[in-house]
Amino acid sequence: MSEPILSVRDLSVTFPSEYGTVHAVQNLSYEVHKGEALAIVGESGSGKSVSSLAVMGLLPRTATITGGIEMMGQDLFAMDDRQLSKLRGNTISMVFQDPLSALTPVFRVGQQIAEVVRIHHPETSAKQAEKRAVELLEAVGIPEPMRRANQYPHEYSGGMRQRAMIAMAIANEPELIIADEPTTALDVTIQAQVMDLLKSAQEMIGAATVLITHDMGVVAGFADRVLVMKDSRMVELGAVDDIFYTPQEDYTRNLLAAVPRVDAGESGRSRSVAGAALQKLAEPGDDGQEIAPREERPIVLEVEELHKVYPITKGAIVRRKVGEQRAVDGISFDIRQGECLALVGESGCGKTTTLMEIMQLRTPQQGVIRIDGTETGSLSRKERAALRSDVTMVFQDPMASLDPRMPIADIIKEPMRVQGYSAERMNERVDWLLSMVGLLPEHAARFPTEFSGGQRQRVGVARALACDPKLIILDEPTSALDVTVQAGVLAMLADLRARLGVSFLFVSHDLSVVRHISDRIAVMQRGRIVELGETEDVFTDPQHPYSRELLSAVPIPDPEVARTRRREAIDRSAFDGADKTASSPDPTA
Amino acid sequence: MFRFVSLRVLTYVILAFVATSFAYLLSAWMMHPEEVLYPPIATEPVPPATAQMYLDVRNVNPDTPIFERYANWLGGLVRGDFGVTTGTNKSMVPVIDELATRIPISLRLVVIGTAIGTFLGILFGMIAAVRRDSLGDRLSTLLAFFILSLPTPVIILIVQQTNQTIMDATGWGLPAINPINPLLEAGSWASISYQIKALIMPTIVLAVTAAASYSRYMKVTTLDVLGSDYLRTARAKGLTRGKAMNRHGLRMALIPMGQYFAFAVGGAFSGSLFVELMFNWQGIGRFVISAIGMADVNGTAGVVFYTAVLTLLSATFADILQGALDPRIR
Repeated sequence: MSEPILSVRDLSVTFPSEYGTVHAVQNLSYEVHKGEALAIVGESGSGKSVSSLAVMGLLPRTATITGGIEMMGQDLFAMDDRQLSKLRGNTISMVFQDPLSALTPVFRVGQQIAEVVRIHHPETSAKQAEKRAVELLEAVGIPEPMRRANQYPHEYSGGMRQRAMIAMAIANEPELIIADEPTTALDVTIQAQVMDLLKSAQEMIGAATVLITHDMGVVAGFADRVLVMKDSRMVELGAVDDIFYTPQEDYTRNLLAAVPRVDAGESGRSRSVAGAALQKLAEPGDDGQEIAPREERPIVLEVEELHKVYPITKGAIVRRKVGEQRAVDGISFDIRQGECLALVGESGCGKTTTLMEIMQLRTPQQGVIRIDGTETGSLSRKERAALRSDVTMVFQDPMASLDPRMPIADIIKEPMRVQGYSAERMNERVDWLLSMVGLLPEHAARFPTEFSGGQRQRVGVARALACDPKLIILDEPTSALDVTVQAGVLAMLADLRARLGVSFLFVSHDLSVVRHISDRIAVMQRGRIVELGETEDVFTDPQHPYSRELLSAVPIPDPEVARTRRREAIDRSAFDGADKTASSPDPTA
Repeated sequence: MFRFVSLRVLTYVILAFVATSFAYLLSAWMMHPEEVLYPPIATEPVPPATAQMYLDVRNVNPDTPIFERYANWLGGLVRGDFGVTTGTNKSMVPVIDELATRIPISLRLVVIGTAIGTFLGILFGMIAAVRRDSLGDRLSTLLAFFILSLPTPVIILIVQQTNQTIMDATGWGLPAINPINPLLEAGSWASISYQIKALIMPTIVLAVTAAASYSRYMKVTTLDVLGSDYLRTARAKGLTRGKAMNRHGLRMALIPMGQYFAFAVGGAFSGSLFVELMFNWQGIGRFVISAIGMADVNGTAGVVFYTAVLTLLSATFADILQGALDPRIR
């Protein structure tokens, strides 16, 4: 094997905090070889980001770092900021998680890319650097690069900003690219494009890559080797096939088992361990109870030709309408008792607007919403208040949706108090609800901050269940959770549905999660439902091209399958041409 | 762009009009300059016809309905006439003349003081944020809170006393009061140098108070920037800590500062009230205090007009500054 480009030996990072020293990374050792892609995976707080920031020398000054990091034979710890700056952006470059905030908002994108060229090649003229920036933008697939280079980051979409970040990262043909959760903030189709781009870029300039992620699906398609981290320590390090097919450690196996799979139905044929824990979720409950066929069950929610149009106005004093944004453009669906309908789509497709229209319990702009056969527009104020107990909601962010100043018991009681339950009944129900969602009655007196994210989401579900609702609307209930926690919450939700017969409207952007929990699935695009059908049918035989695109973009946590799906994403010719201008030592070239 | 500017100007004209109208109506309603016509020590009462004429010519006759007086005043305003001084000041000087002589005196104080204070505040605030928890940060924080907690007159006294002490010890010092020395020939170098020297102490007072509050704001915005992703990106590109801060951080930290600037001018105006009083400057601040004190309706309204225009201009300046700094709001 070739000499390692990066070798990390016995790295430990600690931070001082109010509660004593925090060990962010402990005794981490790994090597990255030329041209190799190493993935560091782990759940939040496992120390994967900190370890890579340590390589970049970008940890805050309060951090204490011990061990050794060698980059191409140079000891990084022996260097000062000035020397490290010569390496950063030139020999090692980095792509960050959130493309929305990673670019300086006040400079043009072209300027920012040109800057990284000029920092390390001061002999390049400003004009040449600008030209190079345009070429780089073209190489990473930005349309109209000339015009786009003169735009500011806020004029770019999230995916385009991440492309610009990648352009910046490959500008000086580094030996090592560190990508820290590069696609976490992006929609699934964009994620697939960005990962393909990153892979092609890496292969083309022959750089080694360290990919930091929590998404096992992304890892399968990208990495040569995988390093699994947990609680600041390394759990397992091995070739990607070994990790996915024959994991040695229990934690790795559990982590993989909790990964939802979009190809759940076919995974019997897959050798990957991934998704094992969620298999039984997808299968129908066989608790002896005979479930009536769908057509015979009563309809809980019915939405007919729902429209929501936001006018786009212009003018400060006299507002005039210059256009309209059709957020929801005539959608119809119904949910029957005990059914879980998944509403999936990418950001901005109108999912949340649909939810808000339903939750308002008012006459929609156009169309009809019926809950249990009652039209929401016909309700009196009192009836509307009473109906609030029938349709409840679980929110996306469990940290923000619980009042931090209220104990759990009060949070769960609040909807019951509004509906006029007696104190005795409320206390009884709190105990019962907590046990239903897998918490202990003793937890009732505690405050939300004392719980983990998954436990808080369970509290959120308990609150939604408080008044025996007929329908629970779940707005991305697991997208803020780690994958093992997510598996637990999904299992709990499936269990609740089977036991209580409550219906779910499950809104998500994550197709693989939806596959495990929903009966039927509605794919939304630009305010319309483009496909609505049985989950199995949609997954095995998607009808609409957009559904097919969505499905093919979802990463599969099986390296063999993932490899067959890779696409060429970088414009090599554009980059080769650009190469000569930038790397040439002759400034007149 | 033209549309934007003309719309802006129109809004400002309306705002200035509303502010001044309120000030006029309020002072015309609350102040009673007619009462000073009959001072208790007067041996003979003023003849009614004389009194009526006296009040009418100043547009402060209580027998005229307040809205008629307001309409009279508005009519003058349209012609650029703010009326004449009233109250105990019987000299009937046009308010516009008073403003014309006093505004330059005050404005140079406010503008120079604010500019220096802003610059120092931004500098110290940024240093305090970048070197957080260093000795320099703690000292500047302590000093800023010390200055902020002192009333302006106390700061003035400290500055004046310091000057006096130095003067006593060395025999050299700055002029204690007065912006100009009437004994020196106007326009001569001696007169100009006196004016410059006289400007120093009041400017120090204004600059120090402005810098104290500015450095606090600046420290907060800089700390936000220091934790930002784009600054990390800039560092990852290969900029050293200092260069990344200067090229990417400073401009981002200055964006929210633009909004504070709009308020700072208002703050500097009220700060200059004390400065003018205690350094015996015949500026606008001194004028408004005496105008309120002697029930000068027209003078009070005139000063409010001036401060309204000043505030709106500084708000515009702040907006332009923000537009220049931040492409997102352009």
